[in-house]
Amino acid sequence: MIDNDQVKAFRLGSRYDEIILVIEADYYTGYYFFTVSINKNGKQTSHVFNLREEIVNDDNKLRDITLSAVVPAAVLREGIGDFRKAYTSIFSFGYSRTSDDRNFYPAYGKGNIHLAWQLVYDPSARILLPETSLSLGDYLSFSAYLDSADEIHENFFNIDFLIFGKSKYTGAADHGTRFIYGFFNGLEYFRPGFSDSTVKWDHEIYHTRPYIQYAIWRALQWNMMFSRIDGSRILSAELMFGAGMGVGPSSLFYSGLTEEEEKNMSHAFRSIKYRKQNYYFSYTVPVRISLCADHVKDFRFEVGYNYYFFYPVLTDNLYDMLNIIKGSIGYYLSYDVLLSLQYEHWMIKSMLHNQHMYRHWNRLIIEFKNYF
Amino acid sequence: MKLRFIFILVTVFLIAGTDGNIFAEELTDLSKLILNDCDAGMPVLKKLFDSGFFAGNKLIEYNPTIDKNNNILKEKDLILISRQKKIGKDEHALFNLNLVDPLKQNIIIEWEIPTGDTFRLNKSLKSMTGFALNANKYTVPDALVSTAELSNDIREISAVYKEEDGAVVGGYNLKVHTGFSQTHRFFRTLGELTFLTGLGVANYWINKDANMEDWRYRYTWDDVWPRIRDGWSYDTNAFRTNTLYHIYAGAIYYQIARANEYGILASTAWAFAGSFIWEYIGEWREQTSANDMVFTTIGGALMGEALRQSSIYVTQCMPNNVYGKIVSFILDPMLVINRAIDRALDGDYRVTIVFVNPAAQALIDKAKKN
Repeated sequence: MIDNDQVKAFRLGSRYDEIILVIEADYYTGYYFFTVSINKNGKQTSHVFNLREEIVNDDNKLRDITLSAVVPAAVLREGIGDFRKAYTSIFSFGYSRTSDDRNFYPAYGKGNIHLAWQLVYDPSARILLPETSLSLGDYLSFSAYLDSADEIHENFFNIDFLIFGKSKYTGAADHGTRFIYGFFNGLEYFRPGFSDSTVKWDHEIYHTRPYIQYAIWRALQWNMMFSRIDGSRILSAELMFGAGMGVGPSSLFYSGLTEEEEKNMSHAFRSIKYRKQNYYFSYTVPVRISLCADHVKDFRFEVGYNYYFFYPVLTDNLYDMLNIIKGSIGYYLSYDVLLSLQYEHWMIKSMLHNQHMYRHWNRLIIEFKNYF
Repeated sequence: MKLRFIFILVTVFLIAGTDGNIFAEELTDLSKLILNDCDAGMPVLKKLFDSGFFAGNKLIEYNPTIDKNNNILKEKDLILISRQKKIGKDEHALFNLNLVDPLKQNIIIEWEIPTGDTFRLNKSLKSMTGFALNANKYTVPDALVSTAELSNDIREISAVYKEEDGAVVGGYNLKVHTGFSQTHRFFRTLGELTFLTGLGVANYWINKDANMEDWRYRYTWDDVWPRIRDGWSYDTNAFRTNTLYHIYAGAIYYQIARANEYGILASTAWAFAGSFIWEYIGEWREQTSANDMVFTTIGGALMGEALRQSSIYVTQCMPNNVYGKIVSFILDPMLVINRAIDRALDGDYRVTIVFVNPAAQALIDKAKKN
């Protein structure tokens, strides 16, 4: 790509070199002298190459030799040093309580200790060009969440994987605007418990807790991520909407049933046969919106909204909707360690044969986040 | 029927793109590659030439009487000489490849391989001859860059400088990976995938009682057509089996292929192949599960790539100690296992590239003749 009289080339990968070359040529008594200044990963060096005049006696040959010999030799000369890394990650450790009434505040002996991990693979983040095309796998976000089993024992993971898209950047490195958009594929999973025994649909968890589980493959997913960089302060926004299929969700109508009641369940619940688990195969429409102001003084503010609509693949008159509203405030104890407090409000609406059920619950999360 | 067609397409896609004939592709009518064995007791190049290793290319000649002291070549000609070298009881072949690049520099490329290691010897000859032809056509740095870009075989490059001015590159030292053929990688991937699927099948039969309730077909010829005709259906398995287990199985299939140097799309096709084997052979007695096929293939590919990137991140960014290695193994076991297999089966070899100044070379040659 030619940008402002500079030749720029990119090969996105997990480790890469950032190389800026400036070539100057001089002629003196039968020799051309090329001074190649190299800025490799922030380290500046320069080298002089000389070529006899008869070797480079026309412009095309001069250009070919410069591009095919002098530049690679200069770059290779720098050897293999520290690479730029294409990853950012966040490791979180914290405490959470969930309750369907107002008793979600921390209490001794109640609640869950959790571990969370987020990895973003974004090799194009340092490309400060007006427009860069991104292809399969050039952006990946992976987050996972696991907690202790004291109350609900929730597990969660989410993957956003770029199929193709664009990355746009305007401004300078420290003061600019970045916009990534494109088609993605995604996978999301949420469920209390890893073990069968705690989640069979006649288990007491259905009597005592609000409950939902789902695993979604977002076959079609459109993501737009916007960020405004102003020194260390970053304002960002994200919108995702998609469509796909899912295993799940569970329905509020089918919890705590007797064996006699099982026989009259909707045929959409294939899972009632043999395994007796409360879920149906679904078509899914998920939406995710988030706004964040990071490093505002020493604070971080974030609000978000997740919406999921589930409709059964084996058609029947039923659907489920899940809404999650969340907000958090964090304080940076150091540049990369954040102490945050997050509140989430979950709302489920289940419909079956024109009957409706609603449940909602609250969750409070206190955690330390370490940015790497 | 449609599914079988897709499977054939996938298989063709995976097999496609075997190694090309680098000699036929790169030699032009201006280039001639002359082969010569220095030691009559080790005619390694003659044997290869006679066996058709050089693809019968008329521009490659075997010449047993070449003047071995004359390294000044005609423009565009290349000469490859083998010499015998004893290291203790081991016999090595020392190869010396001479060429002139477009900058009119004489280039000498040298490397050595144990003569008993036929695979590496042949591979190094192909790789270095291809590299030399590139250097002959363009320049050594250009050939280095394009070879490193295309094959990933060059693992390390370090430049050697002429001492007099410190700014002129006098040559390069390379560490070259022998690598594996695409056919080798295909069968290794298939073997690993079949082995792991076999473990899953063994587990399936150990827990036969829990799985029997889904059985609809017998192991008889009469049930073959109904089994295929009935097609795919949504199954009734537990939520965890339909999600986590199948996603993880698919992630392992995907990681097997990625560890064997397949790309994202080809590895997804391998995850599909693994899911197909499981559903149609492992679980023959059950109707094929549509949700399992989707979540094993696509869910597995997405999870496999996420875990693979996490493993690479840990390898690059965490301290290289036992904890880092354990975490890396947990995230992408197939990458760690396959790299260990690579190291066991394969060895890198070192190559020295020297730029010889024509004037200096003329003086050396003159001195030799005198």
